[in-house]
Amino acid sequence: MLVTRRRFLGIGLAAAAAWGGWRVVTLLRMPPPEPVLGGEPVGSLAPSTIAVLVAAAEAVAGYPIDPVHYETYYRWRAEHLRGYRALYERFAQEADRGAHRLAGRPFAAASSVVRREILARGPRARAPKTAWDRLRVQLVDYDWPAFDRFVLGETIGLFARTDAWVALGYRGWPGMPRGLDRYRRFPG
Amino acid sequence: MTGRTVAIVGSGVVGTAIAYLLALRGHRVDVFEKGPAYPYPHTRQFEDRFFYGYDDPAYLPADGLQGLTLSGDYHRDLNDERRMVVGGAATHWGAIALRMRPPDFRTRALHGYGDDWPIAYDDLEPYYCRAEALLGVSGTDADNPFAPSRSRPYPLPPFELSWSDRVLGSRLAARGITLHTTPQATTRLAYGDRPACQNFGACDVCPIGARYSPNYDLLRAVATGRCMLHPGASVRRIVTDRPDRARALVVREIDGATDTEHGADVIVVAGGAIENARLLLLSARDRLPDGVSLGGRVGENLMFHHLWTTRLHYAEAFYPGDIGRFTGQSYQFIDPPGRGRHGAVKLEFSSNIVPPPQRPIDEVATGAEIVDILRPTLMQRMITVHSECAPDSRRTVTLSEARDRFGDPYAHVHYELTDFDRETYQFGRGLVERVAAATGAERAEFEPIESVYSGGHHMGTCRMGLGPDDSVVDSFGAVHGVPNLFIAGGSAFVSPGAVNPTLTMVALAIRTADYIAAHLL
Repeated sequence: MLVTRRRFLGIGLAAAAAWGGWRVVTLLRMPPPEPVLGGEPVGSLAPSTIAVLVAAAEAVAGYPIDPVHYETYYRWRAEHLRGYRALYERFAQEADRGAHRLAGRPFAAASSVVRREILARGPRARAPKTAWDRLRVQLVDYDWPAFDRFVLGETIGLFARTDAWVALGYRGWPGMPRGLDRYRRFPG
Repeated sequence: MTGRTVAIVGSGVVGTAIAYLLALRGHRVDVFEKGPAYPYPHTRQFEDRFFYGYDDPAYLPADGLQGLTLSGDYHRDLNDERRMVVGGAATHWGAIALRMRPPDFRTRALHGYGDDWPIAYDDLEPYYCRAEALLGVSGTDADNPFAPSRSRPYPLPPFELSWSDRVLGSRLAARGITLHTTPQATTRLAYGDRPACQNFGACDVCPIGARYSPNYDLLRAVATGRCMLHPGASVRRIVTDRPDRARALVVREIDGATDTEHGADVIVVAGGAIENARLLLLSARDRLPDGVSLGGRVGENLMFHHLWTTRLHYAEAFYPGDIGRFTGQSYQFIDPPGRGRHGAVKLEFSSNIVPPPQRPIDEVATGAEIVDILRPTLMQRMITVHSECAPDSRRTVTLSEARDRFGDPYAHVHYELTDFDRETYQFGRGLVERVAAATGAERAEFEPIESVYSGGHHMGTCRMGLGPDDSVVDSFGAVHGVPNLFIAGGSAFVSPGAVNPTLTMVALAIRTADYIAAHLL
């Protein structure tokens, strides 16, 4: 039996649609990819990249921070641990792209509201709540699980060890030479 | 100086003390450490942790070098407690430097449990003084009516109680409980070329050497030109060629293909209670026909320092963590009425901030969430019950089926909790309930008995005694019948007391060094 061209195209389109649907369902069911660092070489960071990272730290912390030790942290990891420099650069590009789209300016110059909206892609990528979030991680935000763990998560950890202590009312944090007088007085 | 040589297995606080003192007296010493080099002062390690969030794998022992198998009632990671680097576990210690009390050496005679040491507190007291001088201990007994007698003052003044310890201490005093300062091997003032503590609060990686680290004295020993340190060198056997003499160590470089024999006139084994027993058991198993029989007591009576921590919740903020880790503690229950039904207990307020375990910090997304998680810790204090166990045949070190990278069996540790331990746990828990009530705590979260933690303090396995029927070594650490082979450190403890054991280990090490210098070199 001969198949007409129209029928043939119809069958083809139906098969493609079925495959696409199956693929979408598969993607929706898949957990987000486990973030891994690449093996790209170490190297120094451009000032513009540092500015984005520190701006991200300010946004994530939501409290006043001392930018110096964040800069130190990012620089050292980029210069000593494979994969970080490239990841930081991709993160900065992605953050700037998002800020330009939302606010028409670079990430570091954007408002904290805009910065947080962009950075919210991190937690969404780590633990997507909706099918749309899951699909988005697979197709668009595939770098964000790594950004979430190795940029935002580590920044939160650094904040917890440092500026969070000041936010809680301490005069300093472990790692600072705090002297042997003040600990004998009420901290507040 | 006679030209006779000493070989020391292990570069921890005990091996280092012996190496340093013998090198200082002009003797030739070789120190073998299976772990890697570990820079001192620990500035780099401090920066790695606090500035870069980095845990350098260069400070880990090579694969297949550190391992053991474990059975019984101990559920912590024993391997993690044994730090195999140059300087040993005391590279990371809390530096609490306490003396045992005279009754701790005579629990059998006085209280009917455990066994008595062949030496008394008075025998060890001068060595306690020297240990405090060696480590640079800051302390006072002026506020501790339960402290044992001493013949010399502490080398340095104490770290005063923190603000919150003073508040809690006054409430405890009103209920008849004494909280006093904590003697510690951290410099309250500059000490020799060690600077005064600046309260970095990072004591386990103190960046300036204010907290004592064995690496300080190792460097001084090496600087004499008479001490050679061999990092990355695993001692596999002790060679004995006569029934009464140890001749050499069998050593394998970590990446080496063959063993070498390192001959010495005196051999000191100072690798910790577990590895010491393992090395002796391996050496006894593979001994030459005329070699030393090390007797059947090696590996018996393993003892851990038993620690349980309670989180006390208050309605007011105490701001823990404003100073290192420890200022206030209590010796009051270290020789309590009822001792014998249960063991002794030391109470210790920790200044640590310990976030509640409900939600890991790496799962949060904002600083506000972090602050919310940490805020309740302002109104908490951690109190640790340090308690005594008794030597018991149900706690042993033997050889495992599992093997290291050279094919040698690892140690197998079997550790059971006993009825005595359960009674001691209940006694300690009752004390913490008293403390909680006296200080106005709203709630106390006790650790269950199953969470017992050794604090990295492992003792026994080669204990001292009067003869081979009941022990492995004499009071100087010499193996019975083998006068040039010494087992040093916590291994030789007969009973552990309730206090942190490191100062006692160092006091014993100094006594061993004196003996070796006087009788064998």
